[in-house]
Amino acid sequence: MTQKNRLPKGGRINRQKELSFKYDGKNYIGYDGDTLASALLANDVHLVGRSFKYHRPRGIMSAGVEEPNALVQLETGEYGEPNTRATQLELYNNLTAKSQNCFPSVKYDIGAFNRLISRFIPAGFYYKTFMPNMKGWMFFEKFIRRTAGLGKSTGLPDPDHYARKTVYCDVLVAGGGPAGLVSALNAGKTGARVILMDEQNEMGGWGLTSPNMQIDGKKAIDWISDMLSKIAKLDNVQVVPRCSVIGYFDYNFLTAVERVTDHLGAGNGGSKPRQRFWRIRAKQVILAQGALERPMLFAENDKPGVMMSSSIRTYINRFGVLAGDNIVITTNNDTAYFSALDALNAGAKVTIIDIRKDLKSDLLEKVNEKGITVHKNSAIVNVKGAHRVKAVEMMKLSDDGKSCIGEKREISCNLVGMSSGWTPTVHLYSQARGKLKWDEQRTMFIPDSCQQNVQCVGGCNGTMDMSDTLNESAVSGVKAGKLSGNKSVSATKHKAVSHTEQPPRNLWIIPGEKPITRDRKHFHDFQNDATVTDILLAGREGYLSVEHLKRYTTTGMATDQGKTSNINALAIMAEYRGLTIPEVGTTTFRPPYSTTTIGAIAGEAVGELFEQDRRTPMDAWHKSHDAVYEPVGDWSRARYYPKNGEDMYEAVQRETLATRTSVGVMDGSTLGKIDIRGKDAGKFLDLVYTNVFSSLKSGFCRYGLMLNEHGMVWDDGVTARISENHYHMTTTTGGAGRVYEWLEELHQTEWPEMEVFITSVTEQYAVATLNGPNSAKVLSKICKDIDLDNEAFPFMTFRNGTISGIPATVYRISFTGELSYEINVPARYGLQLWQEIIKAGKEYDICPYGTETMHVLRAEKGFIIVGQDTDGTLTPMDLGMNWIVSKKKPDFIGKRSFARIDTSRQGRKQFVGLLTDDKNIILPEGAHIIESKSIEPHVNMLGHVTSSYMSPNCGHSIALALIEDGFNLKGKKVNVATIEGKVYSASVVDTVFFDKEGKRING
Amino acid sequence: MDKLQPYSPLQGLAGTTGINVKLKELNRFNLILRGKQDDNKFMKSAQKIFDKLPVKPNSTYQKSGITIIWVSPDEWILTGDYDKLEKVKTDLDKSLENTHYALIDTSDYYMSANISGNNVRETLEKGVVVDLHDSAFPIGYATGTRYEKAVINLHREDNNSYNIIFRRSFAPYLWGHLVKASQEFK
Repeated sequence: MTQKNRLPKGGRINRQKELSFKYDGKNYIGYDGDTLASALLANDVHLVGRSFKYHRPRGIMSAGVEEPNALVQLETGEYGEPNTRATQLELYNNLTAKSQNCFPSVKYDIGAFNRLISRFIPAGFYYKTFMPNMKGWMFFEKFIRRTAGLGKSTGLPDPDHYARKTVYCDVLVAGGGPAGLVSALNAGKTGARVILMDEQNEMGGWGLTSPNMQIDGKKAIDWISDMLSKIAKLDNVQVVPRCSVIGYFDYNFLTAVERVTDHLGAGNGGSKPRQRFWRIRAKQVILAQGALERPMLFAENDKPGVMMSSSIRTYINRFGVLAGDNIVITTNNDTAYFSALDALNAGAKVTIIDIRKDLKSDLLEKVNEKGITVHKNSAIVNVKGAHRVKAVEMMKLSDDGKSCIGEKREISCNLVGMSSGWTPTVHLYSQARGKLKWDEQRTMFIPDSCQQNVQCVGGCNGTMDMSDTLNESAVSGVKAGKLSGNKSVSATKHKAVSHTEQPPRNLWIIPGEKPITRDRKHFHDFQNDATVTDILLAGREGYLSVEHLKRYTTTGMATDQGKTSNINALAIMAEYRGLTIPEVGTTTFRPPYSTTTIGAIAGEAVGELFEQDRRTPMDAWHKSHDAVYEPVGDWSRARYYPKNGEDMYEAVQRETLATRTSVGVMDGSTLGKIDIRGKDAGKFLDLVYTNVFSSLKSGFCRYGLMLNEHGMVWDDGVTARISENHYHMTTTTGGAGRVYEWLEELHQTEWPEMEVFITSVTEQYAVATLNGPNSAKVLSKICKDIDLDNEAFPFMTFRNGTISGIPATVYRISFTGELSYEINVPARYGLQLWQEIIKAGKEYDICPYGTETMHVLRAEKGFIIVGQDTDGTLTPMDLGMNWIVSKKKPDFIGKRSFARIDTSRQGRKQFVGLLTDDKNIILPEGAHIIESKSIEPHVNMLGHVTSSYMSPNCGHSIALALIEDGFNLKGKKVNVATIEGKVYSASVVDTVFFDKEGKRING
Repeated sequence: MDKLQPYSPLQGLAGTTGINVKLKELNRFNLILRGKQDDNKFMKSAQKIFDKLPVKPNSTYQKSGITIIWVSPDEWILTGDYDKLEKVKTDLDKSLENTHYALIDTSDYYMSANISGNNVRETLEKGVVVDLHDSAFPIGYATGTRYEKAVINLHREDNNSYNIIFRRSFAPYLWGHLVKASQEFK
């Protein structure tokens, strides 16, 4: 296949490097430096897809980020990617792509049937049809979804590697065209840290489209390389090509996506990431994003072969591609004339249809001299051809431009260029919450004011003259450098050969042969298949606000975010309502400015690195002994250790029984630990706990409840007094962080005068808890320097010693009611400690147990778990723990709230035990306790089950529950309803089910 | 005497490859010293052991292999070779006796690693959200920050060399991130 439309010379492509690629199953050749779009056009392929709704054939319409049509399905299999913009996709060898939204092929598409019924599927069709008939929607949805939309996701894991980075700079310049280059150079000269980003593979922007424009006495293309070499000399300026700034947030925080290795082809990036997501904090921002050309809204303006006039020029000058050799250019302004001239020079036949009436431009003379026919005051009323433009039909415009008059004339052509003026790219400025103002003469929204440290230069500022652009950019660059704390320098001066623009004629809707509502389709939003009549329909149906208009017609949505359609849509709505455009207003511009992969945003934080999986020091043992884990906060804790194919129930029953029969050991390392020191430590603890700690003797431990200001339980744990001014507090695993922060906050804000230091030591210690009647026997084998005798080492005390040589602190505290030793060692020895215990416990059949068994063991004793049995609405009294609330202390956090009427009333929800009539029934946790035996509405809920297990030691299922007036219900029956609709009868009992006398604590 | 077998959760994990980024675990002690900057008695007693406790935010002071890192107006991290732990602790406890202070051994809570090489800054930039430029993060600077979701203390001890202090339970997560981040520079 020859490259029919490739010019013999010119362009920024490397003709020595041919690249082969496949499109819709056919092989083609392009050059290094091409985009997929330019390579397709070189091969005379215009038809690239079917439209979103009507399945109309669509062609390449632009040469950049604004492209609404040329979205292709790139590659297949795991590297497959839908909706890739062909105009931004750099060609690489063996690239494979195909058209989207068509079946069986782009030329013969069944979905095109929609075009025939298009009269019956106007904007809002689905709402109108299915809102009154939801059942119909449920049925038709899957068929509609199949025909709608664009590309298809692969459904496979993404094989690529992405990365993120955070950088800071003094000045960020977004856009590397002439304006951006001058801004970056001048900012750089101040000594500022400058980052210059451009979405293209090379810097130059508009200069690449218009390479012969004269700047500072040079051709633009030479001037650009000059500027780049000047910038390269400044090592404080970083130039990043292939990088789109896509988001602008508060405090000059911006995001950008760099396509690092996309251009090398799928899977060819080596160790480099495919894309890199930049998070940038800039002191000053210069936006130099340029402007985008607007399409002209004439009938059948979406036919393949109709494109933006400037993109014809871009393809010629940048890619050496003349997209058609018989061109009609239709315009309302002067810029399209330059496209006409370049096309003529490249060898095309060119005709201009200008909607303006009186033209007195030197350009007109120039094109006439070259033999280009210019039809004034004329407009296209039809475009002929199905898969490619064959001809246009043209008529004269009436004086007011509202209709067409006279004879229809046909002009044959294979390419149409259109231009309806320019729209400054204000997306990022708007994202930064910049306000826009309307420039009526040039019909554009331009930047007005912004709270953030941002300046706009060049096209995106509405500055269309090149000399003005360059000088404004130079001044802005110096200003930004200075404002960000650098030295002042004088701005560079520039001069470009300018052209004096003739005023445009603004006809938002180009009239057709018939009145607009009965005419052929005039598309204004190509990606969403929205026409001019859709806007008018929205108006007639009362969707007058732009935000309603947008949602009703889908204008401005989808991957191009209305880059080519927004202004036209606003103008038509303004005309319809008889208002000015600023009165209609704009919709909100939202990030991202251009489409981005989710992979880039995720960066390297995927798979195992998505979230920390915190493990205890003993984890290697748990892992090698087939522990089943449970997430607790961000920890993974061993839940149980199944043996011989046991399920959780069987394993937990075995572990529970073994612990009370002989000895069990649990890894308690995740418990929160806080070191509290200073002469006011006791006083401090007296205020944060309900009971007294200042009276605790050194070497002793005490259990404490912590309340919030509302008097509600929010954490618990045992605190030991290490010495006179030194305490060691433990908290729940989940509460470790918040308790620590709460204590520090209390100290800093409430009692700064107290001499106390609070320091987290959670992970300093690995903790193994030995429980059961044989625990002392096991411990005595490996601990020779602590007397384990009950009198020498009583309950609720601690001792320091060594375990197999490991320095350890052993606490005689218990969460099971058994004789227990909580052994703390430096974390690095945790694994060794565990192994020593297992070895020593072998002769007693020591049973390692996990968190699930811990739950059963503590429930047998009626010990609460904060967060499971409590929910932030319970006082210690509600839990039956009056004994822990000091009556003597003048104050502690939460005390005052006990006086509240609701807190002190009788009959609150109270913590009780439940025994089901059938001892084998394990109530589901969360099950409701109800008054009646029937669950027919209306039933009164009395409370709910908080914990429920089968207790092998009691030989009976046990449950803990919160029940209204529960203490008075002890001995009575209640009904427990489950979600399956069953109702079980149970007796309300005391919360202690096992060893009520508490004899086992001493073995 | 029983043999002590310390265990590191980084044991057996793959490390960095190539010469441009090198990551290695350090066997260092970690002491947290609490005391008030405006408490003369405390400051004088501490300075008996080290000539200086840095009081400028984010600054560090190094002497005879011990690094003192400013954390907040009432907190410092002391770190150095693990075998110096006992001496530093004993000396300080002795000197600070009778002042309002806390000296807490967190050598097992916090682990240390050094990351260095030509591309070390590019590697750190991937997960650290503070400015690492010379003008903002000069040699000797240290700060508490994050690498992705791991809380760390980052200390630039030389031009292309940083020490990182991190929690033991985050060690494999952080290590995995740093190794992965470095791979593009090998």
